[in-house]
Amino acid sequence: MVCEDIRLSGGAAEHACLHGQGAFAAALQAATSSAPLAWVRGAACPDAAAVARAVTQAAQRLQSARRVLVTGLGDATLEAIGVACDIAEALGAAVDAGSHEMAQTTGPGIARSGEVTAAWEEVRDRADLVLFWFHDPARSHPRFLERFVVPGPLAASASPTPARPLQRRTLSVGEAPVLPVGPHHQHLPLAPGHCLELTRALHASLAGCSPPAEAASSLTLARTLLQEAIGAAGCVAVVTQTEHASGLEAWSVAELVRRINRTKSAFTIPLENGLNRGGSPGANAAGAAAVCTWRYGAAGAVARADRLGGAFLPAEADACRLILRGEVDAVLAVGQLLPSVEAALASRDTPLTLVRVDDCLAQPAPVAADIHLACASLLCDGPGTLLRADGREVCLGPPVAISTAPPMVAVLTALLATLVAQRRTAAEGDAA
Amino acid sequence: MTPELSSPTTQRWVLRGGRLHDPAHCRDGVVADLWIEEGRIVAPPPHAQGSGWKQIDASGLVVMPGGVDLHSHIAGPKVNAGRRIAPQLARHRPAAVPTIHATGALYAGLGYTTVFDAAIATGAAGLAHRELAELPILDKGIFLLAADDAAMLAALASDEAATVQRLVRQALEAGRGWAVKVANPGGALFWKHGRRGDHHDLDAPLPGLPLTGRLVLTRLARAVEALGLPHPLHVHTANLGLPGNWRTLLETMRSFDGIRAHLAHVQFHSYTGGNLDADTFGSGVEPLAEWFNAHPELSLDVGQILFGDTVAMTGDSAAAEHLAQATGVPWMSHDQHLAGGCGVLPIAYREKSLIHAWQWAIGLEWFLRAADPWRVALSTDHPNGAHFLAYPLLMRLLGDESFRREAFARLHPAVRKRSPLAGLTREYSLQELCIITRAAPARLAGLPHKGHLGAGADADIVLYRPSADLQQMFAMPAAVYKRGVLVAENGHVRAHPTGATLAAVAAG
Repeated sequence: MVCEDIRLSGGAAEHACLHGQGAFAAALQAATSSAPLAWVRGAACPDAAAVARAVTQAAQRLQSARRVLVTGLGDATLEAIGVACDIAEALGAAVDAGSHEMAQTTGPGIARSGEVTAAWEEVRDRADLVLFWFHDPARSHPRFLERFVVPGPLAASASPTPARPLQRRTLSVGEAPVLPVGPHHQHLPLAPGHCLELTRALHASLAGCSPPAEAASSLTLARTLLQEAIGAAGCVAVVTQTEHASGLEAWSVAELVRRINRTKSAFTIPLENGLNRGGSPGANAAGAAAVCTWRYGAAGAVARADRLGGAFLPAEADACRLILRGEVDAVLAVGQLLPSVEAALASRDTPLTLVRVDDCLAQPAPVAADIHLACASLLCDGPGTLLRADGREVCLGPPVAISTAPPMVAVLTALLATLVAQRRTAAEGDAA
Repeated sequence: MTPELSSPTTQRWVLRGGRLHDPAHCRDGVVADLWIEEGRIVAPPPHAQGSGWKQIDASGLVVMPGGVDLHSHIAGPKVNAGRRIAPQLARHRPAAVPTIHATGALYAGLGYTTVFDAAIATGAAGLAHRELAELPILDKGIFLLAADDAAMLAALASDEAATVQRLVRQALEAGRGWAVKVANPGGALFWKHGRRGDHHDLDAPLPGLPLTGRLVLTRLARAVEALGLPHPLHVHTANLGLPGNWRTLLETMRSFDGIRAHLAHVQFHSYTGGNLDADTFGSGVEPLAEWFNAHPELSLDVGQILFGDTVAMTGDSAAAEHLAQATGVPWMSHDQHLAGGCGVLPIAYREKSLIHAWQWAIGLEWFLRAADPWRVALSTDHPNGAHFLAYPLLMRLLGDESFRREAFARLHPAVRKRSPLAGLTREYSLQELCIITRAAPARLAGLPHKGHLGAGADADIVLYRPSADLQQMFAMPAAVYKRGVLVAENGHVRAHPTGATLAAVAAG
């Protein structure tokens, strides 16, 4: 999510890229549609009373479950994430937002905890060398390039205290050039499989060591060019993709940037997949990670939602494992789920209640929900707050259009209120 | 006798017969009653014997105002990064960097009722407040890292006092801040321009600006004073953690020359030595304390380290990088646009480590050499030096010389041989401990309703069972009241009221 500067007027989204234009057009269309607001086992709820009954049923099913998982969250505002977490706490549920922040601290990723990053505007104002490291933002984030990278030689820096006028050079490493090759952009064609090898070889060169013996000689030219470019630069930005946030490739890139950082400014810019979501955890993945962390001490894989500190169990309490092992018998899916989680839901062999609270614009999910509560698209959900992937707060403006569907925060609040009321009634019944 | 400490059921109650420690009113263990009405301490009603007032028996107990932590790190993006960076430390109970809810509960259980996060970047203030809104029980405020802001640096460079004041005011208003903090003056600019090492000198020109670290400090401190903000400029000076940095701290203190300033975590800025020579690394506290004692415009918190595993987090990215290189651990850093940034990494303080042992001894030496406790705030710079839950241990080290000597005897032999701490026999009295944990921090923060037990004060009150073991006594108060409500009892949280956010400038 990049485009916090979009203005909506007369049904058009100023400043939006093609992906954004399409998404807003669809959101506006959906806002006025008369699609049902809830489904129970595939049957649409025809009126408000039926929707209310669906909420009640959802609360009952979640309440009666042995163990619940709350997952998704990346498509919700910070406000909605807070309510989803309240629901998780009320149910003693496991929570897994599935963000790349969680992936960073799992398995081999533990070795690379932390990285050197910066706000995106810092690319525009400081970086005189931008390396697109096996990632092409032209496909996922065209406006990232437009706003923060291009044009190459900057006419003026936005910073009032530039060290010197920036003559930016860009260099893409990967299958296809990110920008047209010319005086300011160079492309090094390499298959993604070379990422780890090249990163390690370059790291070794910058450290004054010989490249690893197994490094392919075909990488020598790329390594030499990169070393020269880095040597000539004052500040290096390395643009990567968060989809590959864990594992040796990510670890080696983080270490490479730390190495460059010893002698000059350097930082990584991790990007999500944008609106072409793919395996990305959603527009507000950073917000989901932030809220879960300050509430439970971890960005995900929290075994039990506990504000005093949930147990972070990456090998046990991530969404996929909980579903596949049959450790949960109910799932509250808030927004779209990661493909891996959908796959786990599809392949589970134990019965499970699935409650979805999702954007009415969303494509039908591969696994049908027992109860599906529709809400307004995030694109016309305002007001609310998101975190851009670099941590900057983005406040959504007023709703784009008066949607027939309620905002996600309202749906979740109704679900929470129903849960609390049902629990109170049950307690009173027990007491009586 | 076990006194009745149940929560008052009415809004009017009286605490009977406790031994009051209220340094602001020169009450040092005086047995007296405290009258509380609607969350405030009030004067005893005329001719009242307590009719209509709930009675709470505090006889035999020590009564103090609620603790005030003037320098801690509890919220915001860098604290969240600290929670994530070392999963093994998150599994500790308590976690090295607790969740926001646990932070409030643990502080309250310890007898603290007000806390300040001492370093929030202006651009991160909104998110920090969103998180702090979930902090239970405590009143809270943030110190804004306004001195790294690009517009502020430009105004400081051109010495436009009115513009600097306007920008400070705007930053505090927009970020709902309580005070202004400088973390390594100009250091973020050096860092962002790849000028490693240049930030070590207070008089090195900042990249692209006719400005130095020293000018940042003095001009900003004047602006803070001119605006009449409740807390003076909160200063983390250059060269944190480096050998020989005592000179930088001395120069920093000299720069203020009559202007009020608060020096943060001075322990990390008081080292002799240089050129990585372990034999010359040591304590520079004596000359620093001499200057400090002679200059009443200055106050400080120590940033004591205590041995164990923790997480270091700072707005001084250069210092974090240096520490990461020295210790070889993974670290994270994030630069904010047109502002500073932060650095975060795990760290383990070891008793047998020469450097860590020096740090421990230097911190205690500061406490013992600072003559006026009213200008000292107890802190560990949580979590940088240690968890705030280690405060009772620190209080025992200060108040019990024989205990301190035993701990000293376990240190690295070179420190035992050379540290001046060996010759310091001062013991903090209960009254002095009360000063450095609540009365002084409240006064230094500019909180007239906190840190004392006089009429008009917030009824933030802590009852302790007296004990010769100060650590035991301070670790588990018998009862903690926040604005008159019982919030913790024998380590158990009893209520989760929402505390106030302290903002120096009213919005709008």
